[in-house]
This record gives sequence, C-alpha cells and structure tokens, in this order.
Amino acid sequence: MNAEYSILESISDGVFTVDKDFRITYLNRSAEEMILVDREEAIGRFCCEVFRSNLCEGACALRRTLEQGKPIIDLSCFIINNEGRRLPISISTAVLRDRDGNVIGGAETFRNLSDIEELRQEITGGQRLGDFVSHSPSMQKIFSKLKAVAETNTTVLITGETGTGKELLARTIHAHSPRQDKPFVAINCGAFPDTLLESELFGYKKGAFTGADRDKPGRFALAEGGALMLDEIGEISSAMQVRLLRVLQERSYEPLGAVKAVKTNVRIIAATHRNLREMVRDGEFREDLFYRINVIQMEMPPLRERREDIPFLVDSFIRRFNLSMERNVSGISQTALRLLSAYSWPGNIRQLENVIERSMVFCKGALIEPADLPAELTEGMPLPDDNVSPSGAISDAVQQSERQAIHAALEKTGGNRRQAAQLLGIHPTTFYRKLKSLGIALELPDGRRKTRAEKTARKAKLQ
Amino acid sequence: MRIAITVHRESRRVSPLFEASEMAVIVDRCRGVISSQNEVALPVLPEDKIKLLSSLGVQVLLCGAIANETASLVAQHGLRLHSFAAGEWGEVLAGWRPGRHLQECHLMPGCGRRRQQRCQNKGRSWRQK
Repeated sequence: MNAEYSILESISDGVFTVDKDFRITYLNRSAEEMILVDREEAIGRFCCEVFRSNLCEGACALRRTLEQGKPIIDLSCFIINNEGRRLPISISTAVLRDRDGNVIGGAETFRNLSDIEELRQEITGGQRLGDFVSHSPSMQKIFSKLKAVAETNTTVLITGETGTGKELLARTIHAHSPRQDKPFVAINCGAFPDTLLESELFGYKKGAFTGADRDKPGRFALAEGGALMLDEIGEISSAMQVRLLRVLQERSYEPLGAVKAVKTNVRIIAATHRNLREMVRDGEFREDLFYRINVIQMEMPPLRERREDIPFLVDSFIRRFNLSMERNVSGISQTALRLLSAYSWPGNIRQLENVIERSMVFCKGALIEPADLPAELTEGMPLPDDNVSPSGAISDAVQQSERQAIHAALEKTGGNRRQAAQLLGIHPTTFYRKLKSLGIALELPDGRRKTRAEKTARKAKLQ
Repeated sequence: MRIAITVHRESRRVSPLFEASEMAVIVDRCRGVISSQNEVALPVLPEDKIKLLSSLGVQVLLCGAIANETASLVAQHGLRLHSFAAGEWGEVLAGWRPGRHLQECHLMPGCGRRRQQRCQNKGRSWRQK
C-alpha cells in the first residue's frame, strides 16, 4: 500500500472515489465503518447504492463536481447506513485526475456529524429522549417517568389537549420499550363509525360480508408483538367499549367472520383529550374499561404552559418546511417570535406548526416577520421592542447557549478541556472543534498544567 | 397484488433512498403477470409518500435504503416492506416473489444473507403474517 492510501486509511473521515460511470473504485476504512459495508462488496457498485444520501437522486454533489469541474466543500446532508440509522454528515467533493491531468473520476470525503448534532441538542438545553425534546419545567414529570414506563408492558393512558403531542409521546414510549423492533400502530378511534372501527381494529375474513374478497388484518394483527395506540378512546361507543374491554381482559379477539379467537400480544397505549373520569361519572364511559386502561396516566401540558419550547419548535418547523417547500428561510425575527410566545395557542403545537407553514408561504425575506403571521396573532397585540439580537435567528440563540455551556463546563473543571468535554458528554475532538468554531479563547489555563508563574510560586512556597 | 417500487427517474434503477425518492412505479401483478403499470410522483415528506401509496391501495413496497423510523411508519400503514433493494427496477420486480426475500443480487452491498442482522427490514415483512 503506498503512502497516500496509508494516510486515507488512517483518517477518521470517510473517503471514496468513483470512476466516470460513478462506480466505486476505492473506499477507506472509516467509510466502511460508517456505512457498515465491506469494501470488497462496494467496489464496482454504483456509489448511490453504497452511499445512499438524500442528495443522490436529485442533487448528486459528485455529478455536479464532475460536470462543472468545481469542488464542493462541506455540504450538509444525511445517509442511511446498513442498520437503517440516519447519519447527519457533511460532504466535500473533488475531481480526480491522473498524472497527465485527465479526469478519471471523482472523490468524495464525508464527516459524521452525529456528535455535533448531539452536542447541539445537549447544549441548547432541555431534556431529550428520542424525538421528544423539551426545555420546559412543566415537562419534567413526563421525562422523569418516561423511561421507567417505556421499559414495562403496562397499559398507558395519555391525556392532554388536542395537538399537544400525545402521539409523539406514545411513539417515544414504544421506541424505548423492549418491543421497539416490533411495529407501532396508531388508530384514531374517533375517525371511524362503530362498524368500521371494529373491522379496522380486528380485521375480517374473506366472505365475512359483501365485498370482503380477501382476508384483511386489523390493527391488532398489524401491531402484534408491538404497541397499538388507541387515540381518542373517549369517542368510542358503549358497544365498542364492551368489545375492547373483552380484548384487554382476555388478550384475544375474533376477526369479523372468523370462527375462532386469535391470541394477541400487543401493548395498549390509549390517548384522549377528554376527561375520562368525568365521563365515567356521567355514565358516558365504562368504569371497568377506564380502570383497565388507566394503569399509568401521563398528562401532556398545553403549549401555553411550556412556552420555553416555542423558539425550538419554531426552529425545527422552519427547517422541516424549508425542505418540503424548497425555501431558504433562516429563522424568525425577535418581534415575531415574541408575538408567538405571547399567544395562548388553543390548538397547541399543531396550530403552531400550521402558523409557521402559513408564514413561510408569505415570507419574502430571510426571516419570518410579524407581517407574515396570521392576523389573529397580531391583532390587538402591541408590538414588543425589537432590540435584542441583531439577526434574531434561532441559531444565534443556540450559539449563545453553546458558549454558556462550554464556559460553565470549563469553569467547573478548572480549565481542563478533556474533563469539560466529558462533562458535556462529547468527544474531546468535537469539543476542540466547537471551541474553534465559536471563537472561544481559553482564558483559564489548562487544568492539567501549571503556568510558569504558578510553578515558581509553588516552588517558593515549598522552600 | 398491488406493488409499488420507488424508481430513479433518469437511471430507471431502484431509488437509492426511500426518503428522497421522487417517483414510484405501481404495478398490479397476479401470478407473475403484470396487468397494469402506472407511474406516480411522490410527495417530499416520507409520511406523505407512505400515505399516498396506502391510499392507492398498494400492498407491497419495494424500495432502496430506508430509515428504521420510516420503515415503522410503512408497517403502520399495513404495507409489506422489502427494502435495501438495488438494480434496474424491472429486474428487481421480476426477481421478487410474494412471501420470499429479495434476491441477493438485487440487494444493496452489505445487505446479503450473511448480514441478516444488518439491513433489518430487507426482504422481511414488517407486517404480521
């Protein structure tokens, strides 16, 4: 192996090269480890079938480089590795030439940004479990019991106003449960009339009724071994409540037209925006079913009680809609953000999401401004002063938080960078990179070493 | 049986990544004979793609790489999933039989039989039989 290849094999960035037909000609060790593929299998295959980034299909960076003869530096994207894991990466591309200067293909290097993403999420504060993130004290109760609840097989009842993220909570519980490899299936019980709901939940056999020309598995069958979320359980009829109670008690059900019962092993996660206890008192909901599903109750607070999350939710919606609407909005102005923070949000997170989507349609500049917001948010509201951040972008606030967290960690560890990185739960290399990118000058001495002055003082003391 | 296969418009090969795929070919196939074939443009967001395919009555989805979260959504909509497929779409479809795994020659590198633990959705249904 020559010197160039030894270097390529030793670096932590992934590298691969392709010929002019975009077939892999070389793949380094780090690339093998990130994608989880052996180079023997990868060489000779189309790079898009090995690399699988979201750019491969419509915006291949290597193709652009080869067509325009220009390199691309640090383009962010993601790949899906062979375990189905999504890895955020940044890529750079270059034209590959032989000794005579003839183009023979292209080279692509890529860096795994997972650590940086995690750091960003940690430093921006808040608690995180899977996709479930919050910076609000009102969510503490949920986070404190989420993991313990997830690890059991117990039935869970999630309550909370509409649009508060009940399904996301249910998904997070499932994603951290021993059943995580099995399906998570959700059904909105309020969306089906009784007869349809029965066939949706339990399925039917061929010939069960006119038009049933084949067996159809129900949601219980689809969720077998996994979890079934019964959303809006407060909306089901009394007859359906009886049927459901029987399934929960006996752990078996009969598909429509079947002659024998089918055993089921499904974890039930029920959710409702209604007060089931009151419904029991009013005779609208069966008491026995209520106690059967109300083993563990988790209440999602409305958005107006977790306003700390609004800037981060806004940021995540903007990033998502930038992708789906092919826009390039960089953030929201401080004035607009404060209007959002002051609003009561009867429709909760779903309403906030819709407001951001609508605002992005009308937004003409880089930032969402108050004029882009719907009238109900701005009518009668005095516009708050706008003298806080020069750009107002969420990224500024994030960087500010990052700086604070790093300074706090350095102070706590007496300037020891390695320990500070450990305290923040990140790799030291990532920590150093972060220091550089945020322009943090180290005022404190490195905790491991004494300065000359300190050494002299110590010597003098000892003498 | 209605089968959808995500296809890269230019190369006519299976789209490398389901989440970024722009179109799908939907075929009705009975005993190996294709009775109808249509192309549909897919929406941008993965959940919208799945909803569209489900609303079109698709029962089986053949696609390239897919994230675990998206694969779980596919199962939730009751579609059988055979992922990490690679190759010219017509050949992949012709080589796949209901109830069988995708042929090894039609899998992405690193997803062969030796790697059962990897590419965990590959050739295996997420739907209970």
